[in-house]
Formats: sequence, structure tokens, C-alpha cells
Amino acid sequence: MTANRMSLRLLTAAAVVLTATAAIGGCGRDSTPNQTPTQTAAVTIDDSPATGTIQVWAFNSEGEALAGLVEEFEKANPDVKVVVTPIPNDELPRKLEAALASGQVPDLVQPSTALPSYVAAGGILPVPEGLIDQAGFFPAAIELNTVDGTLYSVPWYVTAQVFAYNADLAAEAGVEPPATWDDVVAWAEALRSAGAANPLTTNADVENSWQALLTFIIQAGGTVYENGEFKLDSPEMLAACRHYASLFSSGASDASFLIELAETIVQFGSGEIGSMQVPSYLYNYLRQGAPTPETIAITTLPAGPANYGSYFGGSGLSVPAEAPNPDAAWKFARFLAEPASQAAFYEAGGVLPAARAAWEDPRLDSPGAPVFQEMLEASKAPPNIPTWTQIRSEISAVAEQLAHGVLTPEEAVVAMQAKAVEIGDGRQ
Amino acid sequence: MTAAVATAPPARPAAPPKRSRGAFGDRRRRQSVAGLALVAPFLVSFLIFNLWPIIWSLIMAVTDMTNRDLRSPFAVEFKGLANFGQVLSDPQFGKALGVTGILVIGGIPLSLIVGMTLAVLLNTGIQRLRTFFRAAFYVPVVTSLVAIAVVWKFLFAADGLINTLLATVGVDGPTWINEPAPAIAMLLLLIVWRSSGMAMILFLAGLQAIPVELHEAAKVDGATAWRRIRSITIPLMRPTILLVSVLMSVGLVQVFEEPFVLTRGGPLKWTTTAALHIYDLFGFGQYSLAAASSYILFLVIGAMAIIQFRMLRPKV
Repeated sequence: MTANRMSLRLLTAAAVVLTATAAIGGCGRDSTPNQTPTQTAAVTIDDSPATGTIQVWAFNSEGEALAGLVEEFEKANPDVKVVVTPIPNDELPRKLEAALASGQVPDLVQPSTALPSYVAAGGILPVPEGLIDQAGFFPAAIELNTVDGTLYSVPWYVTAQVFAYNADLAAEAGVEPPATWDDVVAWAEALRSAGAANPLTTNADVENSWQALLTFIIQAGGTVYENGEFKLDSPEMLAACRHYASLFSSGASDASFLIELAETIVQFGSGEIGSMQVPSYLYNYLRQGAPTPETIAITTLPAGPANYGSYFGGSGLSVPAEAPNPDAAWKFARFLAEPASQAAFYEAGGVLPAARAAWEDPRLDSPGAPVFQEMLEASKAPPNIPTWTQIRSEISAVAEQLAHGVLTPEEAVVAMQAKAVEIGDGRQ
Repeated sequence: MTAAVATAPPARPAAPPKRSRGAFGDRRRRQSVAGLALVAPFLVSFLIFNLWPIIWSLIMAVTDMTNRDLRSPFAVEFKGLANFGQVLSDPQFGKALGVTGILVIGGIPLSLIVGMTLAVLLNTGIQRLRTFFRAAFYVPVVTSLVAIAVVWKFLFAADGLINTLLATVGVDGPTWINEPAPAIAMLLLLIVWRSSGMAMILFLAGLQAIPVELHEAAKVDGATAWRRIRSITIPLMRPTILLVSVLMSVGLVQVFEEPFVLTRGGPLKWTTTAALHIYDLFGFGQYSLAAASSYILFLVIGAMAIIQFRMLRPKV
């Protein structure tokens, strides 16, 4: 063995041993869970102009739509420079995880569904007391941005689930959109006789079918997670699963029909799809894809035993714990949460304002607005636990089997609950 | 090598006889320092970008690290092999391994056969436009999979070209992407279509290394074409077949892109391969379970390579 190889081996061995010792020596969780290092609730953000550079990481379309508001903010705060980096939707969570791990973070981010896990990692600052008036927002929008009772994100925009249908087909069949679960099958049959190959499209794929099931749980008066426990085997959940399965067994929906966004827009316009639960941001795309915008109509979702609500989507704006310029970032977030800014952002980005007062703005005067508002008031935020994205993927996997008739509703609720308990809420 | 040698003045004219060995050692030492300096850039990047991630993933695999530990990665509990037990008892991981197994067992022989057939045809059968065909069969290997997936989805859509063709012969085609068996078949087809080009190029190189004299002698002795392939081509191609099958099995056990862009794991997780399952676990922030799963997959790949080396050991 030559000296070189010897020293290389030694070096490698030393590295491995050192790392292992460091790892094991440093092992062990603190008895108190990771909380935000500094208690910043006492921090107040004054009204003086913001200064310095604000790095913003946002989703692609939202980031691009920010341009006008950035200009306005920079005009009001001459010493500030806002740099927005639009990041593809699938990449932003991964990029943020890497940034939080390394400490090289931007000043303002869109944490979206990963908010609870960033909070659990201690990577996000709580919203300073008094920065915004919480009463000015939809209650669910506050709920959406709150983890364990603390607001970690300034409500920015929201997404409502609505019932979209082809109004031409409905007029031809002479039917009104279904008001309750019981009306759904008759509605589907009427639209089919009017020519819709898929009269009621319901999500049954392995990735997104949780969207339908979570809606039904809420409409049945149930919830997924409450007081530290999963409620996936509750009677409400069973009712939701039965309704979901009945959509497919009755023939109203087709489990083998695949929803591909770009195609769905075309199929909706052509009348191949009769009706479907869609998120609010799709509304404008559907109208653009239809022969005339009036072909696409929306209304509230068919109500279950409890209500016609659904789950609440959207995103807030958060400041990472190690942000270089938190003061200016909070000021920009406060500016974006103002009703006027939110109305302007609705115009630029097509996403719905989280601030209630923004809905009074003439810029929101659209045929869909009253329905959106009604759905937003009736909807609930999904559980804010770190493992939610994994739980909902498990719900989807079970829902898909339910749609294909592989599982009965009774088996499905047991399977979902078992899987959720196994995964846990990730809070410890 | 002693410290005295290193500290000795470099060139003393009247050196005692034993200095010759010292001078030799001195030169060797200087050489090794120079050598180390020359490989240092590689060494540093290797340590940072190769060794460190491997160590890190091992640490992940034996602790309970999740995405909540991002900012304090050492404040985790040591779990030993418990993660491996949890992964192995997870029916979803079992199913993912099963799906991967189907793709490996179906994909490797099919790609080998298709690749070999194409290579033999190109080597002896096709005289005209050989370059054109060679390029055409290789194109799938170098084309972007995302673009291919889009075309593939159109082909296999419910009212796509494949089902239209099937309808002309009276067969009612399935919804390929949304039914378990057809979805696996479609995925397998895509894998074979993509990987046989690579096999073909390697086989072509192997075929051209076989001396023409052997074939001529066999021909003189009256051997048929099939007999010549069986008794000359395939035995002499053993090393190439081994290489291709090892390369392909390593690639196929980790198959990810194809199901990711085409089916996203559905229907009913029948196209969720082990790599896709691990990707999802990482996405959910379950770092330790994902790392443990990766190591299990790594062991499977290693075991497969050993088996293949034994099975295809040269016998000539």
C-alpha cells in the first residue's frame, strides 16, 4: 500500500468517524419543540417608509402579476427596492426547504401548504401584533394562515371551490343546477341526454381526488382533524365516502375519465363536460375557452347534510426567521394586504382577495364574484399540520380505490384513519 | 519516512551512503505532495459533493429526521434500524417494489431482444440507409422524455390513435392511462422503446468486434443463419449482453421519469415505482423514511448486479 492511498484511507475513515461522532453526539431532540428563536410578537412595525432591498419568492403567475404593485410600493417608499423571483409551483416548496436549512433566505415568501412544516422547523416569524386587522379578512383566511393559534402569514389571496356548469346544456335540458347531493344524479342524467358525455366530472385520480372528498366531508358537517386527533372514520366521513362512491356507481361520474387542465377547459367549452367542481382561478380560463363566456356559469356547490361549503385555499405572505430585512418585508406584506392592493392584484393575477373590504371595490364587479364570496364565507381551512400534504395524498389514494369500486365506503374510512394515525400530525 | 528526512537540508553534497534511500524517500514524498496537490480540487469536490451526501443520507436513514428539523438537523433522535423495519412493513413500499420488479423483469429481456434484433439487422440485413435507420432507432434515447410523454398521452388517449387502430380490427381499447394492466403495459412499452436504442448501439459495437472469419468458416461448414447467431454471435456477445443488462437493470430499478411524467403513479398506484414512492416521501418531508427506502433500493440493485455477473460469467 502506498503512502498516498494510506493517507486517503485514513482521511476517509477520519471523516466518517468524525461525522458520525458529531451526529450522534449532537443527537437528541430538545424537550421543548422547535419554536421560533426570537419572540417577535412584541415587535411593532411603524409607519415610516420601508428601506433597503426586499427579496420576494412567489409562485410563477403570482410573482409575475406583482409587477404593478411593486412599482406602486417603490414609488411610495423611495428608498426600497423590491426584487420578485417567480418560481414554478412545484419547485418553490423544495427551494424554500433548502433555503431554510441553509439560512440563506429571502425576506418574503409564499409558504402555501407547507406553512405548518416551516413553522415546526422554526423557520417562520409570527406576524407582528397589530400589523393587520384580522377582522378585515375572511375567518377561514385567518385560519389558513394560523398554526397552533399564532398567525404566521399575512393573508394575501384565497381560492374558493365553486360548481361550474355549461349553461347552454342546462338550458337545453331545462334543469337547474343541483342544490343538494340528492339532486346530483338527476342533474347528470338530464345533462347527458342534452349531449354531455361527462355530465358531472369528479376527480378520481391518484393525486387530486382528495379535493372532492374533503369537500364532501365538510358538507357532511365533519372535519379531518380536530383537537390533535384525526377524524377520518367519523360518521360524517362515512357519509362523504358513500356520496363520493355513489357518484361513480350511479354513472353520474366516470372514474376512468382523466382531468387534464388544458383539455378540461376545451372540453367544458365544447359541452363534453357538463359540470364540475372547480377552483375559482379556473373560472376565467373556462370562460375564455368557451364559445361565448356566458356558456360557463357558476353557482354554489350541491349541499350535503350540513352545508354547501368546501375547503379554503390560497396563500399568505411569510417572513423567514433569518430574513435580512424583516421590517421592510412586513411593510410590503401589509401593503399587499390592503383592500386596494388586493383588488388591484385581482385584476392583475385573477386571484381572489382575502380582505373582505376589497370585494366592495368596483374592480371585483364580475358575474362570478357573488358566488365566490358566498363560497368563501361557507368554507373551512384544511388542517394546518405539517403532514397534511402526505395525509391528503393518502386520502386521494383511498378515494381513487373508492371511485373504482375496489373499496367500500366502510373499508375506506378505516383505511384512511389507519394511514393518517400511522403518519401522525408531525407536530410532536 | 521519518521527520529527520523531511527536515534535512535538501542538497548536501557530502551525503553518507544511507542518504541515497533518504533522497529517494524525499523525492517520493515531494511527488506525493505534488500528486495530492494535483488531485486536491477533485478530492475536495468529491468529499463535499459525493462523500458528504452519502454520509448525510446514512444519518437520515438511522434517525427520525423530517422537514421540521431543517434548521437544526443534529437535534434528532437516533432510531437505529427501526426506519428500515417500518419501510419494509409498509405495504405501499412493497407494492412499489413489486411494480418496479414487473418493469425490470419485463423491460430488460424485451429491450435486449429488441436491441439485439435491431443491431443484427443493422449489421447484416439492412444495406441501404443504414445510417438513417441507426439514427432513427437511437433518437428515442436522446429525445426529451417530457415531449415524448405528451405524444404518448395523445397516442394512448381514450380516443387516441392506438384505440382508433384497435377499433378498426374490432377491439374495444381500454382507457390506457387509467386502468392498471393497460397502464403498466403502456409504461413498459415506453421503457422498451426508449432503452432499446441504447442496447442497439452497444450491441452493434459488440457485433462488429466479432471476427468475420468465424462466420465465414461456419458458413463453409453449412451452418444456417440462425445456427450462426446461436453458436457464434450470442456466446461472443456475452460480455456486451452483461454490460447492457447491468446498465439497464441499474437504470430500471430506479425508473422514475417515465411514470412521473406519464401516469404520476396511478391508477391505484399500479405505476408507482420504488423511486417515485421515495420521491414522494422526500416531498412530504419524511427524510428518514425516504433515505431508508433508498438504501433498501440500493441493496436490491447491488444484489441484482451480483446475480447478473454470476449468470453471465464468460464461459468461452
